[in-house]
Order: sequence, then C-alpha cells, then structure tokens
Amino acid sequence: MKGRKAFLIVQSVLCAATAGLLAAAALSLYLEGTARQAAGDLFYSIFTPERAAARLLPILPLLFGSLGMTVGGLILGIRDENQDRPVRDEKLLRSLGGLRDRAVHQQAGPREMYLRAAILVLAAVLIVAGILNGGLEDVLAKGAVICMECVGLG
Amino acid sequence: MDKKKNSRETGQKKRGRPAGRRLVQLYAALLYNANLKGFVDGHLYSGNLKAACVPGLNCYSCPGAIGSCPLGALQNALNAAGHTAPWYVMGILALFGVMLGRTVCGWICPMGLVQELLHRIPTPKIRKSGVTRKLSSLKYVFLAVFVVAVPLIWGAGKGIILPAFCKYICPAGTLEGAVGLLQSPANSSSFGQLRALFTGKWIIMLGIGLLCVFCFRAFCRFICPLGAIYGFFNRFALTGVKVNPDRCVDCGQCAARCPMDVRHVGDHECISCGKCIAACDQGAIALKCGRITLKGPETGKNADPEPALRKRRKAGRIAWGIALAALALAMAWFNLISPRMGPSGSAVGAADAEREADSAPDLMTGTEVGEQAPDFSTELLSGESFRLSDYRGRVVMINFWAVTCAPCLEELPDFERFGREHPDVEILAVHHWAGAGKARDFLAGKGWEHLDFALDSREKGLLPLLNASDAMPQTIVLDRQGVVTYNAQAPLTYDQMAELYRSALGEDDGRTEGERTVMQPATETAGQLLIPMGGGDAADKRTYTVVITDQNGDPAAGVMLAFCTDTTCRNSEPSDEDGIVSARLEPDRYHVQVIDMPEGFREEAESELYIGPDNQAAALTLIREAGN
Repeated sequence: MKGRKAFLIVQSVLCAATAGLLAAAALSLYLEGTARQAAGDLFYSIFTPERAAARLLPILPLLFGSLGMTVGGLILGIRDENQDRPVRDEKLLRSLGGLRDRAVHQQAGPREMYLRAAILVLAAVLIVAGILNGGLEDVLAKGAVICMECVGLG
Repeated sequence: MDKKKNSRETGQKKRGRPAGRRLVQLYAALLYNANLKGFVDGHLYSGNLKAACVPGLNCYSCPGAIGSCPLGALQNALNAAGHTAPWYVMGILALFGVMLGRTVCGWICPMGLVQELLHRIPTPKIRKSGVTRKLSSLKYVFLAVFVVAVPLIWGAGKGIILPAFCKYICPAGTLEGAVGLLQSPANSSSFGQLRALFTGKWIIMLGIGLLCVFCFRAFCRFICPLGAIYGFFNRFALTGVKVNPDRCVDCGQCAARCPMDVRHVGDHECISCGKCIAACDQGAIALKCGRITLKGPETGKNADPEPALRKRRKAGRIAWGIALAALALAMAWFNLISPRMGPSGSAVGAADAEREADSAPDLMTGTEVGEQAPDFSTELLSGESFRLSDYRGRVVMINFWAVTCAPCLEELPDFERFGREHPDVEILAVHHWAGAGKARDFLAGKGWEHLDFALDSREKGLLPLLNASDAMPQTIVLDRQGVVTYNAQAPLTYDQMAELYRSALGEDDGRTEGERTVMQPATETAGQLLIPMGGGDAADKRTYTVVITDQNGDPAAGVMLAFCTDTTCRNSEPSDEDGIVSARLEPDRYHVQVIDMPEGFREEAESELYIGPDNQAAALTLIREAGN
C-alpha cells in the first residue's frame, strides 16, 4: 500500500517537473531571443528547430521516465483507487436531493418535445440564412488558411 | 461473483479491453483528422468540406483537420458580425446542441480523449468537491468574455480580427495546430515566427495538461466554452443519459459516482459518459437517442432483457461496420485520391503563369532564397495586368494575405506606407483564393494607392506557383534581377521592410556574380535574413577584428556589421567605445557590410571591405557629418 502511494507521488513529481521544465525551456528561449532582438537583430529567430531541440534534450530522460512509470503503472494496475469511490463531500451530497424529479427523464414531456422541434426548425432556418448571407464562405475562408493567431504563430 | 461486484462498483472495464466509448472517441479523432498526409507534408486540407464544422473541439489549423472547429468559427463569425450576421455558425451549434448536447464532449471530442488519456497517468487524483463545482462556472465566463464579448467588440466595433479564446487560451490550437504543423520539416520556417504568443500558449497548454493529469477533464469542466454552449441544450437534447423515474429510488449514487460536477443526471455538466449507468443498482439510467437505447443496464435486477441486449449488440456491430467503412473511405479520399490544393500538388494549374528565367539563366528557377523567381502574369483588382518580368530593374515585394488573417491586416498599412515612401519598389499583394469577395469589400474604402492587389484563384493561382504555404502572411522579396532575397511566412514591421529593401538593393550594386551576397538562412529556416553570431565556439573558428573610425581617426561606437559569405550573413554586436567589432567565425572570406550605424554617420560611397584568413584585422572608415 505504501509502495503504491510512493509510486503515485513519484509519478506526480515527474509529471510536474516535466511540465515545469518544458515551460521553462520555452520561456528561457524567448527571453534570450528578445534580448538579442532588443540589441538590434531585427530578424533574429527566437525559436529554431536546433535551439528547441537543444533545450528539449535534457528534459527527455524525465519525459521517458514518466512515460515508463505510466506504462508500468497501467500494467501493474497501480492507480488512485479513491477516484472510483463515491464522493464523500457532505456539503456536496446534501445538495443532491430530489434527483429523480430533476433528472432528465427517458420519456420526454410535451414541453421538451416542442422545444426540441422548435430549436431544430430554428437551426435549419439559421443554417439556410447563413449559407445565403455568405457565412458558409466565411467559415471556409478561415479554415482554408492557417490561423496564425489561433495556433500561437502570429 | 466478488470480482463482478467489484468491477460493477468501480465502474471499471476489464483490464486490457478498451471501453466502447474510448473506441468511439478514437474513431471521432481519426475521422476529424482524416487528412493524415497533412502531418507529413505540413499543409492544411483546404477543400470545400472545411466550410462544415465538426461537433467537437478540433482546431481547423491542424494539418489533419477535414472540417472547421465550431468554436473558432463562432469567434470568426462574431468578429465579422459588423457586416455578416453569424447565422450559419449559430445554426450549426444549435443543430449539434439539440441533437447531441454534451454527448459531444463525452463521446466525440478529441480534446476529451486527450484529457482522459492524461488522467490515466497514475497519480493521486483531485476529486470533485464544492470547489470544483464552483470552478465549473468559470467556463461560462470564458464563453462570455473570450468567445462572445471580445470578438464582438473588437471585430464589429473596431474592425480588428481577434478570436480571443483561440489566440490566448485554446490548448487545442497549440497542440494540434502549432505542434502539428511544426513537427513537419516543411514548416521549419514557421519557427521564425514563434514569439511571446506561442511562449504564453505553450505554457498555458502545459498547465492545462498537467491539471488534467490530476483532475478529471479539467479543461472540459472549468474552461471549455464549447462545452458550456452544448450544456445549454443538454436538458432537451435528443441524445443523452436519461432516467426512468419509475425505477429511480433517489439514492444519489449516480451523482455521487459521476466524475463531472453534475447535480443530477443530464444536467448542463453531464457529458453522457455513461458511468452512472453502471453505478445505478436499479437499472434506472440509460443512454438514449430519442426512443432508441444506445447503452442500458446490462446486469442487475432491472437489466434489459436478453433479446433486447442481443438486438442492440447486433445493431452496434452493424453501426461499427458502417462507421469503419466510412472512415476507410475518408482516409482513402483525403490521403490518396483528393488532389492537393497547394504548393506542391497536382492541382497546380497556373494557366496565367509561366516559369521562365530569362535574366539569370545560371540560377535555378524557384522561390527559395538565391533562386530566380518564376515569371508570371496576373490580373490586378484594378483591371490592369501585372507581369513580373516587366518589373526587372526594380525591387519587388510579393505579399500573400487573407482578409481573415489578423497579422496580415496589421501589416498591410505598413506596406502601403512603405510603397508611398519608396516609389521605386513594386509591391504586389495577393489575396488567398478563399474569401475573395470579403477582400473586395475590405479594400473598397481603404484608398491604398501604392499597393497592387490581386485576388488569387483556386484553380490557376499564384500561391502554388510561388510556393506560398497555407500560413499567412507570407512575403517574398526579389532584387532588381528577380532573384529571391527573402521568403518567409511572418508579418513584417516597417523597419523590417526597410531592411529587406536595403538588402535587396545591395545585391545589385554593380558587383560581379561571384561577389554577390545572397541572403540565405544557415539552416532550412527561410526568413532568417541575417544569422546572429554565436551558437558554439568551435576551436577551428578565428577571430576577425574590424576597427571603425571616422575620417579624423576617432573611434565610431555602436556600428553593427554583417559578415557575409556567398551564402550567409552573420550579424555582429555593435562596435565598442574603441570602435572595435570582433567576431569569431569559420575561416572564410567575408564581405563586411554596415547594417546599422549611429545618427550623424554615413558610409563612404565606394567603401568595400573584405576580410579573410589572410587579413583577420581590417579598418573601416565612416564619414562623420558636420555638427556631430
């Protein structure tokens, strides 16, 4: 039992350290690069495949260690078993009264049926209106080109 | 018996056998990203199917994506709400919402799969509590602020494209888009564009990923605005987990065992994962699509009867067969059959373009730095015709842009200003084929007279000919002889344009071919005009020293030099107070150029300086102008 707990804690530390070092690697490259740019190198590339690889290389043992422990843990069935048990937060449980009445029922009532039909009709109307007003073309125009700001490049 | 009971209590599947839901998640992720060749060649799929949105969160800038992300499309639509009402995306979201609700999150969202896989890493887990329930309201704040308010205010109000959630937060964009694109060697030039935004998004992605290791679906529960939108529809969605009130004894086990922050089955937090179906001793819960049971109680006192189970399993097998056939077809279509609409594909028609290299036959024709740009002709928006070879003798800048690309729109005014202040430069701005109508509207009131605009066409475009990528903006600079001196996908500032212009001019100043300095990146990283010094201090390097003085022999501090071979240039540090610049370089013959000098100085008209292994120290004289 103690061994399992220790395993989980070591794995947590490895995960946190890997993520922290990956973040630190990017940040240090960025700070170093901006300093060079501030010194007058207008076209200095902050990130290059070579620089990124050089920073990532020392982190690889941690990453592989964490991956190895994950595989080992999955094979040995080591996991935090608390996650499968019902929640024991008293305050939370007190708020769970009257579930039967509030839950979504298998037999939809007339109100749900009407609302569902109305939304379906509305959705169809909106889609047709959108196709007519050029909304479809807008989605294609955005999707066909790499969205630089979306992926963090721009 | 005990084993069965334990398995039932924990809701776990038999070890080694993936749950049906996991297979559906994997299937959806593969189907959304069926353009697998995109990961290899580094280009996006840009066919008509991209006009349709997939139900889950899947970045449309992922090279594998065959459809658009509904959340990104919504922000884009709200951004453009000033001139086009966002009916289409709202209709799509309403359709997915009413048909599936948050079943999308639980079953067919690739980000959901990633989060659940991360959560499988064996670590201590943070369980749901009053705190996580409060945090689950945060996603509505993200929806209101980043998805609705900012794009609406900035877009409709100020005319600035700002998909704030995608830009500042979305880990799907970083993981699928940035990492997906950058892992391909074809996009190594894009590394040059990574700056603060990428650094920030990278750290955010790692933070969210780490949180997901410890906390079940942390992004989905606390951040995802798409889940928040679908949550509004959950109560009356056609598909979802639903309760049979005749069997329910109100024991609360469903909510107590649910890993999400639900208050009851099917509420706005419920992702219909079906864990409660196994947890319910009364067999009161089932995953339904209308009246059809997709997953119901299979054991216990109210288990579905055996004939019904057999019928359901048979239907399931047939559905899987059809689904797998559809996936195989999609894979074959996108990876083997569909023509590529891009730089290197078979769809390169370019009927109006001609590949020829009339002025420098010794150079290869192409768009890499140092190559002779292929000649082409195209029709301008003004109705005139543009032929590249007509502009021999002038520096030409070709900019590729798109009206949906925020960095493009930010640099266009700088190009206009640069064109106004440098009438000897020809600037051709080519709009991507998608959204050409919107581009016309955008340009209508601008009054930009110093740029020549062309709208590219899908079938016979300039983009494939000039090797433009799917990333916008891209700028190609040609010197007076039509040789490419710069080609990169990156927004440019005015100062950078000026620097590129000077470099392009410098190549054509009467020097012979052998003396010509072609600005070329040291690696495949195109777009890196000058290479900074450093990066190792190999023993075989030598120290070259240049002493810079004025005409009176007084030292000139703050002067930056570039040491150029025939293929590369390296930037120096500014000269010190004694006017000395030292550089450790590989033994070679370098042509030294001044790239930056303090105000009040100018170069001598005829100054040419070479330095090499035989003359490792040299002197450079600048003219200090009167009064300085």
